Amino acid sequence: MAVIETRELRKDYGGLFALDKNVNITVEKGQIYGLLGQNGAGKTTLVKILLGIVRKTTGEATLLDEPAGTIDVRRRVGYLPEDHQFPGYHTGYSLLDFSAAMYGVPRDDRRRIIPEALNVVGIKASQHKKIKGYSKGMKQRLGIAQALLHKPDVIFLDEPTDGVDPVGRREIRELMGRLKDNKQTIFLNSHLLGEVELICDRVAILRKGELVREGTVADLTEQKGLYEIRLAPGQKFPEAETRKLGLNVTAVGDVWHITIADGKAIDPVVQMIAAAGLNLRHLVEKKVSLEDVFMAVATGDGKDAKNLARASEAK
Amino acid sequence: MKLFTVLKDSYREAVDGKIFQAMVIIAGLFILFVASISYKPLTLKDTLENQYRLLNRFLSNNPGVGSPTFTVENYQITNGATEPWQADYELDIVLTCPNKDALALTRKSGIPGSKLETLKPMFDQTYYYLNNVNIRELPSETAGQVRFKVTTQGTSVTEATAWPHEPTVLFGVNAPIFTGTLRSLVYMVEQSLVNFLGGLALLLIGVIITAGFVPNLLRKGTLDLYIVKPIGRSELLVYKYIGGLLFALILTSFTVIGVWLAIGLRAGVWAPEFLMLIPIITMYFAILYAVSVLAAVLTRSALVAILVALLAWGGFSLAGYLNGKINTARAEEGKLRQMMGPDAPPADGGSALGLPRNAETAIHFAARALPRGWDLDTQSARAIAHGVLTEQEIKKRNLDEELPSWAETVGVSLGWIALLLGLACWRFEARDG
Repeated sequence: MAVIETRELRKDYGGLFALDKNVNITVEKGQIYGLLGQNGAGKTTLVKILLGIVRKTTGEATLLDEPAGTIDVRRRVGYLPEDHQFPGYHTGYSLLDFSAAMYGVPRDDRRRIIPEALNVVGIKASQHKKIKGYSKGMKQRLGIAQALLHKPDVIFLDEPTDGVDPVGRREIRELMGRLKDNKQTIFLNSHLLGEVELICDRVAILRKGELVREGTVADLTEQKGLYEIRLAPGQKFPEAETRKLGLNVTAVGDVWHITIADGKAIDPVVQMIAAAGLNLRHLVEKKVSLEDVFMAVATGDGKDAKNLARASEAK
Repeated sequence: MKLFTVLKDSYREAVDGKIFQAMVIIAGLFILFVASISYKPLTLKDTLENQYRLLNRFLSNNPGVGSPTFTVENYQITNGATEPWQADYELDIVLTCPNKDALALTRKSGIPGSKLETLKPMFDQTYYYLNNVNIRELPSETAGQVRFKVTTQGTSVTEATAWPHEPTVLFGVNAPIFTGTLRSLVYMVEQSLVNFLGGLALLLIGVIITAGFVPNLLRKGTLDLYIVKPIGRSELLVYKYIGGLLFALILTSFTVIGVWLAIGLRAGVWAPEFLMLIPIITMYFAILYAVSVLAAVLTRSALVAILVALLAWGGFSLAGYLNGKINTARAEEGKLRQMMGPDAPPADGGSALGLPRNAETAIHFAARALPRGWDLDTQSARAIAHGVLTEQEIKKRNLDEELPSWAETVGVSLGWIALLLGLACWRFEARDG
């Protein structure tokens, strides 16, 4: 079941497109969906449209099978905005109490779940201190707690680990994993590509308001048929013989990059090396990281493949 | 539940700012000040001596009238009454001059009270509440002196509030310049000190404190946290408005009830009409706060919201004030014409205040069409007067003139509040983020 779905979504700020054509995404229940893009790419605008904070210009957006942004839908959604400013007059506890009460959580339940939630994000000891005295990391943890407190079906997290130390980041990643196990859907905006690669099931990349890539992390980072081979020192790679097998060979320093066509395997090359009495020291199927993909497409000028190859070569 | 939650949030916001605590302390001190005022019933001797003290001072600066001095002697209550308004009095008023010639000069120059024929009317006018006043001149015992024997039987005063009192402030500091009947003193405290000064302060500080509520809500990074909750934007804004209103209501109630109790305990005057100040001041604040909310939604600035609300306040008051002046001038003109009868000159169609006729029409229109702040002010003064003063005293103070009905005053004001809030909600709904 699609929990989030957008079709041909556009957002026009008086002639300036924050989201422009083809923003079609589908997020299934229980997925962690990552949205990537440079600053100003339209990530936050997309989230805000889904939450009803910003109005779409054209297109369709549904959340939990209802038009995005309605009050009924917002009841089932949690949100941690980027650069949030919690009212400084609240304590951590009172902010969660306010938040949960707005979602209609009964008082007795609030008394039980608020300390639990603060404990989960690791700031229970400061629950009765005024937020204005919290560090950035503590505020971020509190923000996550308020987004999760009412047990929403979908959670939108905009830069959830911003300002959080590495230990905290790991805890947040683990928390997201547990939420996923509970079949809660997470929509994650993040600049931390390694983090996204680690935890997201699917990823979309926006560039200047346009959706330029969308798929699973495996799909996006897979680069079919590029292998890296190195032989024992002093041995010469049988370049000509390899070409005779119909494969493309390129020398990069003391390693060789071999590109094979779809449907073909690297096995004949390995057998040939063995038959020639050469010693294989290194063989790996070359993959690109999500960062490579992002750098190639998010900053690109439309020539994604070329950028990606350049990124791959650089590695 | 959401309303209660937002109200609680607004309460936290108001209480977090030290201004609220300061305001409560100031209100507490104000109540304490009112409670420090006590009202001492003046004896007839006190009243006479106060009067003659002033007269003697005046006469001492006029050497050409024989340097007279008035004193009160042999003062006594002859019926053993414990309350001054229940007493029968006997006393001597003694006029002393340096010599016989000076006395003759004084009496010749017509100093009030220097002769029986001027003393009696003075008593009738100033001490109108004394019954069966008998004054006779006694044979002179000393050259340059004349003695009047005054006896009275009962008074027309039946309760303490109609008897002259002298207030003391700050738990014992005499304030003799404010002597008057207890009713008039209480009216002065309630109207001038509480309704005018206190009301002004409450409105002003209320506007300042609450002006930040909506801009804080609309602040980048905060707004999203609120509007992502399952609540409509208009609902949220209206709840925030009610939160501000509640703040003003609490502060006004605290002050007005505190003052009411203080006056009741100190003066024994328990006028429930005074409590009408609570809804009236809150209503006035509701108008100003609606202006402030609209300005805040349009500009996101607390400072602009304060300035616009204060400007609107000035505008409403000015329109009401000028309209009142025009109405009074017209009424006076009407009375004059009635008195003059057929001799009255024909109406020239000119403006009552020397303004162009069109300006007068515009003022009338503005006063009727704008929120009725001035009318609310007048209504509160009336409410206080009706709680304390007699009908005769109300008439004497011109507080019996016809006013627009409560329904009209409240209706027009509520209409404006609805319009201003409606515009604010419309803008808030229409904006992105």
